[in-house]
Amino acid sequence: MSGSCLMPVSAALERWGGLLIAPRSTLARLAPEADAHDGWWLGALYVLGAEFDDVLAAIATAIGLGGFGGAFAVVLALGRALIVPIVALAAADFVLGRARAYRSTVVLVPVVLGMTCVHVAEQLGFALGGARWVAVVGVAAASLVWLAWLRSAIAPQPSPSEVAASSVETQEESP
Amino acid sequence: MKWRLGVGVALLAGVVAVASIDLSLAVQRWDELGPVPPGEPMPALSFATLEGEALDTAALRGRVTVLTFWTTWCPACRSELADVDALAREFEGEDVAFVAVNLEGGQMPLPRARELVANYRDEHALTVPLAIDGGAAARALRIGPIPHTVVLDAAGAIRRVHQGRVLSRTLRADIERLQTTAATDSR
Repeated sequence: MSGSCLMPVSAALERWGGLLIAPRSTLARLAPEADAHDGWWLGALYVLGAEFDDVLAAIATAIGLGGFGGAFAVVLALGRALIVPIVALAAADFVLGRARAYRSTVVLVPVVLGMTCVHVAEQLGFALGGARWVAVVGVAAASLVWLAWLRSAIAPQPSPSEVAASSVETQEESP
Repeated sequence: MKWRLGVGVALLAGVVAVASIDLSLAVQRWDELGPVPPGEPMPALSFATLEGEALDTAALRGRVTVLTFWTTWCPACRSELADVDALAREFEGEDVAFVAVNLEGGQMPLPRARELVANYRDEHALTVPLAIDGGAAARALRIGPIPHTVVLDAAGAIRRVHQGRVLSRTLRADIERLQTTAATDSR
């Protein structure tokens, strides 16, 4: 793999690491489009870190049962696995407001870390059972509180209508 | 800068390590993941009937059998039970048995489960034979999402397994295929 291919990967890792240890300064020097694809990557990491056992069980089911039912089991497992990140992103949009929502994927970094830790506890033999949902809600809620604390460090972006209005004003002012 | 990259790499490495453990555990017990698949013999199980008797799976041999596993709180089960009830009437008089096995017996005392299922039967005017599993069938068949439907051939082998809601026409096709196979074998 060439060095140029690794650049976006190392930039993303530096960004996620920075968000965990120095979130305000990381956000302050983050270009607006720098984290444009983070939602997909962090969603994939969430599935791998927190829900991979369920997805593997669904794949085993699909191979065992075959047909449409088997494929449906995999789709259902992936859908279940992605519920938490999707709900967290929607809640992050709400917490940040429209002008700052372009940074909502930031919330997924602590969600991935927290839920991977919860899954490690399960692998170590702590049977969470029904308490797993309490842990999931706890991790998501803590991540949203963290994001609310960071809200002021995210520069608001003007909406497209505001940008359009300001460009019209500029044209009118020019001779 | 190095610290930030280091923490990011540690996060990625941690996730990959956790996923690798999941993969390794899954590979070790791959055959036990998911429900008991078609081709396996039906485990010897006993269900409690609403009349207070025991229904052994061995007693179902000699007929094509449809076992639908369900709970009273599952909306998809309600819809599937209505279909199974209609199919049971459609195949009445033929060598086909239908049993709708409620899975809530594993979570409450049997008399309470009987009362719950009897009330459900009356409320939904079901005529299909109902039974209650105390948890053994759910474990033996590794039942996950419900409704869970198992179609057995006359020899007692599992021929079809459906996870989730199965359409009436799919079940009918399963039954007719097994009836044809049985008729061909007997010639």
